[in-house]
Amino acid sequence: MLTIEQIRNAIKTSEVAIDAMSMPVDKTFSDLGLDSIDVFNIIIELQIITLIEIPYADIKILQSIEKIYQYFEKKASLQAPA
Amino acid sequence: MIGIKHITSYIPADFIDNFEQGEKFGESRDYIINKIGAHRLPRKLNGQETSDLACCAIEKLLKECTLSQEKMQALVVVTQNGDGYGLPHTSAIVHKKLGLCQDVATFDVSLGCSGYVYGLAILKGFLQASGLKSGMLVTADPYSKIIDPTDRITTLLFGDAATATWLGEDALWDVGRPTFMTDSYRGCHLAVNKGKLQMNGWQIFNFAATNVPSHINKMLDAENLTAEDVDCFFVHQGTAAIVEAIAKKFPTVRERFILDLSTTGNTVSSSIPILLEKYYKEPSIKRVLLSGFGVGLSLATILLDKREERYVND
Repeated sequence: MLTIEQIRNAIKTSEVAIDAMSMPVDKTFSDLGLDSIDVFNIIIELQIITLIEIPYADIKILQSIEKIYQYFEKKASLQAPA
Repeated sequence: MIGIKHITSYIPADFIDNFEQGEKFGESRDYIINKIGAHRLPRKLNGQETSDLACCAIEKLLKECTLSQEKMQALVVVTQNGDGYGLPHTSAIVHKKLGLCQDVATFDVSLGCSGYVYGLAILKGFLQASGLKSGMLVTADPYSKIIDPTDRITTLLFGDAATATWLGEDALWDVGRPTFMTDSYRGCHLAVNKGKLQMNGWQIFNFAATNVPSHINKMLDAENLTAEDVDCFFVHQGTAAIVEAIAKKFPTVRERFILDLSTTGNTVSSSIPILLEKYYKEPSIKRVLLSGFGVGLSLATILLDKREERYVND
């Protein structure tokens, strides 16, 4: 399970030109002026933290802190024992 | 011991202005400068063949150093876009155009951006196994042959170029033991389809950003070295973003990762020797690490060490 703080730290580590600690969770990266390569850099850091390889098709979903949180929350719930 | 004696490059004078090209796709100057990294993309002339680029690089090298054509015993061309349909091999065509003698060994190596590192290892081993003393490693892979100018993903990246590296005895630089990696399951993400290059940018970025840093660390560990022991890191100049993504994983030596593709773009297997040509005679640079990655998907890393006590002024 990935926390909002971990996601913000991953964004900070990715070195994209944005203040990761203050960016609104619901704003899309595109609305905040980030481009596709910035998003690639964020995804790389998320992969390193979670040890989960993110499929190409899922990248278009991961476009805000909130969407990333929901994505990994869903993944964790699917992996949790019944 | 066989090593690198001299390197030259040939960059065609014609070029595409990448800012103008970027505008057509709605890309900003900032994106071209900071993410792509290539301000201009050299282009071979129409009718200029891969072998012509190779000949230009070799002829330049022969003018710059003591090697005579007669002493060249092997000629290897790294290319996946050779003359015609690839038969005969481009190195044989270069052999004919330069009028080399019949006892020169010629063969091509089919690799993309990892091709220079592979080529160094292959030619060094070939010369040693054959009892030969002098060979030429050429990179010439003009992607303009396979680029679709309407494809935003690839047309902003690649430039045409060729390089020639003379390998021989009593060399300035020793060629170390390489390490390799192949991820063939992702090979389809950088491939030619119906004559045109197709690339999944995320897959290539992910492959490089994830694997190149760990591959470099693996090589350093195997050699009992740390990143601080390396004076310069010449990684394949795919894009500025890829070089930066790799470099930032080495925070203590980040500035030693050379980023220099503004006037050339991604020149495939030529990108590393183009960097080497610029830096390999700098007195302060005594150990460099090369890492090439791309088509395959393929990754190859190698160390070069300067032999100061046997400096050969060629």
